[in-house]
Amino acid sequence: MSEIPAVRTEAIRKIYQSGDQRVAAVDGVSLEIAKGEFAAIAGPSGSGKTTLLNLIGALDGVDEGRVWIDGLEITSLSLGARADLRKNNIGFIFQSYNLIEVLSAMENAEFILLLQGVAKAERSERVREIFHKIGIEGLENRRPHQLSGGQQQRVAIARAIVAEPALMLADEPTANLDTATGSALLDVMQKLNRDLRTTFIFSTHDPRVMERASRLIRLVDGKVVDGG
Amino acid sequence: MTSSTGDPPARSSLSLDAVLLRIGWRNLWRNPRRTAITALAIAVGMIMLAFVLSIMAGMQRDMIDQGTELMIGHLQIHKRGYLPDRSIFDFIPRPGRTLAAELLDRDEVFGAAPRVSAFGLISSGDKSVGVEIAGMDRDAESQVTTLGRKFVRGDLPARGERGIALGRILAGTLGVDIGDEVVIIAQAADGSLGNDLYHVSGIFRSGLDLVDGGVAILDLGVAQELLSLDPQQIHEIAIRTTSPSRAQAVASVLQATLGSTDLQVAPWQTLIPQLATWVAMSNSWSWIMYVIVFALAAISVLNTMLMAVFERLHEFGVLAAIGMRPRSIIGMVVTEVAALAVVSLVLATILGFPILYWVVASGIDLSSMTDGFSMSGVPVGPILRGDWVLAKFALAGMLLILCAVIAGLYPATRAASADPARLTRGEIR
Amino acid sequence: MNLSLLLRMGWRNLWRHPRRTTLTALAFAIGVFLLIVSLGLGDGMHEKMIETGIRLGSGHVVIEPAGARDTVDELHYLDADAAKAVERILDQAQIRGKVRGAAPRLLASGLLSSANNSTGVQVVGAVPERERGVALLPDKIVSGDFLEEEGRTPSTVIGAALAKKLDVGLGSKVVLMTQAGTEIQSQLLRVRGIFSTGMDDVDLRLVTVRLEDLQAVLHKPGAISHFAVFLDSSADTAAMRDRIEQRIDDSFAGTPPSVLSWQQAMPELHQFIIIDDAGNYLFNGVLLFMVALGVLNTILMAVLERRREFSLLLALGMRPREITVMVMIESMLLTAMGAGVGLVLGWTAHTYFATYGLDLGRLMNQTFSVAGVSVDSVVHSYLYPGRIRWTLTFVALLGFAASLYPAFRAAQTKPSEATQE
Repeated sequence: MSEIPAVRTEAIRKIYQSGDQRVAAVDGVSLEIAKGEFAAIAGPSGSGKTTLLNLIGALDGVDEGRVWIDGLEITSLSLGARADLRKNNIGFIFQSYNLIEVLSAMENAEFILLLQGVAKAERSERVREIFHKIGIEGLENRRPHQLSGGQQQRVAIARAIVAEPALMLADEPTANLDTATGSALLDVMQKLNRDLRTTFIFSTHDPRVMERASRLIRLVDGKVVDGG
Repeated sequence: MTSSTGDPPARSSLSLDAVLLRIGWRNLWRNPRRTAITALAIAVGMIMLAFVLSIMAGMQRDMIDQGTELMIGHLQIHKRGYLPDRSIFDFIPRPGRTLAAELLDRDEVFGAAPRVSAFGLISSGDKSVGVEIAGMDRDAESQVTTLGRKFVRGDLPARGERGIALGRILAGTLGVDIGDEVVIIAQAADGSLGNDLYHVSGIFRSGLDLVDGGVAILDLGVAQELLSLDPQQIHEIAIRTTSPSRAQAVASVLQATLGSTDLQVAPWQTLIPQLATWVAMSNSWSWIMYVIVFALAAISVLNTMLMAVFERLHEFGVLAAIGMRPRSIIGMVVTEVAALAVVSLVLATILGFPILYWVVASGIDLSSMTDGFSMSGVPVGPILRGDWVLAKFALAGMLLILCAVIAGLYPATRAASADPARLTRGEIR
Repeated sequence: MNLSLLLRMGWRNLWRHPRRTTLTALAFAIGVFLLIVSLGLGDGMHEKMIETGIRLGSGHVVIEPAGARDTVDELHYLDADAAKAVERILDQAQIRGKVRGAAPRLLASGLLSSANNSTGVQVVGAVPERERGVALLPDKIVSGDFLEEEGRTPSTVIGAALAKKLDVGLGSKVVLMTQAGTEIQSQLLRVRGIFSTGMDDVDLRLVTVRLEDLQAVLHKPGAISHFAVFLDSSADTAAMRDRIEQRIDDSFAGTPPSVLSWQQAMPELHQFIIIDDAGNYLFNGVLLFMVALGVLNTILMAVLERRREFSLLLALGMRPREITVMVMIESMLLTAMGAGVGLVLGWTAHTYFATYGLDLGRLMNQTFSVAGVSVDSVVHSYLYPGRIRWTLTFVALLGFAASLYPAFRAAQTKPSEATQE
């Protein structure tokens, strides 16, 4: 008996117009990622890994093909429904500009819960718990510019995970960090993946990240060449 | 000794100032929307300034014209002490008609009209009104005032004619028209009560209620007869000169020539001080407006330039690093500021010219709201026509550029103080 | 939509660039300050002009013979019966309560002479007890009294400038020549009061005598030219005019007397005030437009430099609509700050000028008249009640309008931009 995959795509294509050139950033990708996987989408720059992540995360719409998340087809959803999907079911960690400058670490972390309408007491409790789990207690009231790069990324993880999403998407999360900090970050994410069985999908070109992945999908010129 | 390649000597490169100018100008257009919005804001302020200045100048011009050219003239000569009481006994202590004729020979005197004046009662049937009775010589008056052109029907009485000209309101009150007869009773110069019968020769409309309802005009000679005055006994000589603005100068020249013991030569500013006050007051108001518009423009410029400078601190750091002097950096930013001011002015001129043209050519028509009102005793409106204030606008433009440059000094100095060392430490992105 | 979150974020966003925010708010504050001060001084000047015009002229409401204004003919009178009927109406309960005083007058024109000079004058026959406390002249007496003393010779009150022109003083005799029927009448008068208003037109041409005396001279016993009705509050003008007119129409057979408000009786003044106001609004409106453009610029800048952040918010699940509202809130907070400061400063200045007045005497060393009414050089600031409300509404609209374009731009951000380099 096979479980419904966390993510399934069928021949998806995304085409960009640059001047009079039409380029397919993602060119006919079909894959399945099972629940609980710690998967990496790897490839050189320009391979389309960021675009693929955008399509999976409903940040952008496909030109051809279909995408399912947890069995729900997302390609035909309206923009508003997609926003709700991102809010309720997907957690994002970006490479940079992850946090909202004017909010404190605590307020950043509880942001999604706030959008979901969770009551204040519950929000505070859940965030404090996650901060403890991730190891950033004491930083609650600092503004992003008062945190180091590694701390900022951890707060971003806290925000993404505290809403208990089914899927976590990370776009080159360690790119701006030194080796030690990056490694510690990956430790955190792997722990969460094991403890909570949350599916993690990374886009990366960092070999250290690829090493840790339980599944490696290689992308070249928008097509899957390995691991699909 | 020729150079080895035989090339002509290299042209001197553009001077640093020209390069700074070019850079400053181009920098302005790196963020075209912000530049455009700022320029628009300043242009709007400048257009309004020009608009208000134009209307005020137009009103001044019209009010002075109306006030002087209607009946008073640019300057007047009286016996010293005649004003303000206008006693019938205080006539000019010299042969009046002769004096008036002589004055015509002088420079800048284009008309000299002798007059007499007294108060009396004018009646027709069972209606009567107290009026000022003026005796005027029609031919002389046409050289000095425009009253002769304000006649709705008929004209001023001719020399020797036993006619009387009335204002529209007075004629209405008495219920008379051209040809009807009226009786005048007035206190004569010999103490007796003069009275006589006259026919209405003309009805005028000056626009001033006081004149249209309170003045009746006889021929000079006829009036002198009524008032028991000799032909050379004159109360007042009204004079027209080159323009109202020359009145004070010409008045002092004439006063000096005629001596000041028995005669007083008064320009319109003294005769209608209210009007002169209004002119001075409106000039003060325009200065206040300059200050307000410039202050707001300066804040706009300051805000915009601060944004522009702070988002380019990295660049300024680089320029300082490669050896550009602070003075040159300041010059570069100041050029940008001046260019911004110039662009605003150009925009103001393009958008504002049609508005100014409309105000000067057709004026603002208030006739749906009013028939006109009086200010300082002079009729205004209902159409407010502006004046070409090009000189004032040019001055305002130059002041604006100056103002902008001053406002731009603060951002310019901040730019020049960008520390190149901070660049490499990554503190300025 | 979580308004408190948007408000919190909008407010904090403004203070990421304190200097920029402060400068923009400052410009707005100046604009609002100027608006309030100029409205206050303008309204103050107009109020004074209206009050002078009313007190010098025919009151808030004037009751006169029908058609009296169509020809400037003084032969329109209310006869004795009509006058009594009007008095009865004015005495009625719902009218008497709001009326401070009603002065009957008889007008004539004539020649006033002394031994030394003579001049045309407007003669007003009045009842001193009815004029006191409402009309202007009794307050402007500088010597003598206002028609109180009796004597064999009828009294007259003349202006200081007229007294000087005729070379007369208190106690002097003057002769009034006026027309009664078809005959010219001469009447000897004794100067028992001298007034000074500072207005040449009035001080030189207005002469007051007792009503009965003038009625006798003109051979018109009981005749009245008009009733000048003075109200307790000028705000009641329109309502009282209507009410009086109704009562009069009901009581009179034939053509009833006309009832006019001061706006109808002094149209020149009324029109001038409207036009002056319009000019004021125009000027200040343009100034505020200038500063609103400044707000537009600032907010637009704030939006364009935060594109990444907007993408992030969208990626996290915020709706474009909420981002639009946040930008609008930012803009309105900015204008509210500026307007708030401007209002406080403006109100302070207004209160100061309302109490102590602003002396424009330096600018005007002469009395200056508009529409026949002289303007005092000391202006007391005054604000009609609706002004502040109107100002706030206008300012709010400006803040809203300035936010439209930036909010529109913000809403165009794509969530996919969050992942770009």
